[in-house]
Amino acid sequence: MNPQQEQQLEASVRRELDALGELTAPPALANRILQAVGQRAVVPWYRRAWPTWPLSLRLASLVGLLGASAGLGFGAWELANTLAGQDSVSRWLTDASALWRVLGVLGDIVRTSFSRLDSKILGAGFALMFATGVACVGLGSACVRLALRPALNRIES
Amino acid sequence: MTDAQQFETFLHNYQHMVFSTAMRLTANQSEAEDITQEVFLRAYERFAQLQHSPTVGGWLKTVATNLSLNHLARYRSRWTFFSEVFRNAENDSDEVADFPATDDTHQTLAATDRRALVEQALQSLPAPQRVPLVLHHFEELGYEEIAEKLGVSLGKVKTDIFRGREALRRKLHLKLKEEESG
Repeated sequence: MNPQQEQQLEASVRRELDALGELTAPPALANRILQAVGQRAVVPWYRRAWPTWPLSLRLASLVGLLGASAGLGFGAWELANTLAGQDSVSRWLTDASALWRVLGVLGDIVRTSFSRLDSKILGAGFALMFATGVACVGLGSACVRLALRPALNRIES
Repeated sequence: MTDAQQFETFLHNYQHMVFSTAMRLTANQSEAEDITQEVFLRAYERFAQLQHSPTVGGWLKTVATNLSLNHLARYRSRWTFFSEVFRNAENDSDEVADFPATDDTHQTLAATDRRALVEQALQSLPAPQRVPLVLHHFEELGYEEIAEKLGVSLGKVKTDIFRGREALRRKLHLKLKEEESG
């Protein structure tokens, strides 16, 4: 299609679309909206979105939130300082380093075992793991697809 | 007039505009109704500022457009993976708004019937073509703005709009001047 034809296409489609005007909303929609508005109007302020709270409450909640954040930050800082000097914390750090050493030894054992295994056995093991993973993804996809079918029909209708 | 009455008048004045925007973007009546309701609930929350604002129409359109696009994005990410293939297969068909293609079709069809057919043809377009076309023609957004809003490239917007126009031309049997003379 050359540029001239493209312009003609745009103009003719625009002519059709310009002639459309507004769609008419279903007659029941206005009542439905007014009902929803009425229900929302009787909801107490604390169950409404924050921007719709009265100004004084919004300011008070903001001050309260800032105070709580500052208090939490200060409390955490003080707690960390207090704990750092206690024996229980240093004991905990010693236990953690011992655990880390044990994990390191276990890692060495696994690495040594793998290095002594035949490469064919290793390959077969990895292939089996991969096949199991693929099977899980396939089954999961099929389940999700089945689960989504009703929603899909609703949207398409 | 009480606030409730003023809001009711406001609702009656703008409901068709908001519904049209949502309906043309989503192409689904129940979703368009939900979006229209949400737009007016948001308008109600700030009605004190909105009711005297000269830009209230623009505000309502923008909120309706954004909610519709959010809805489409959320809905797409939920089920596109499994349904895109079927949807595309359905949309490949151009039979939705088809009607006898005589030379004087445009003259003989009543204007309302014609509008209904164009509306139906528009709504039968796949979302990637319909949404940019609606944003361009009805919301009067430029290509760059559409690309930004939809998070796609400028080239894709141009291509999708062209394809959308071309699909509409086929569905409505619009003839270009050169085709008519040829």
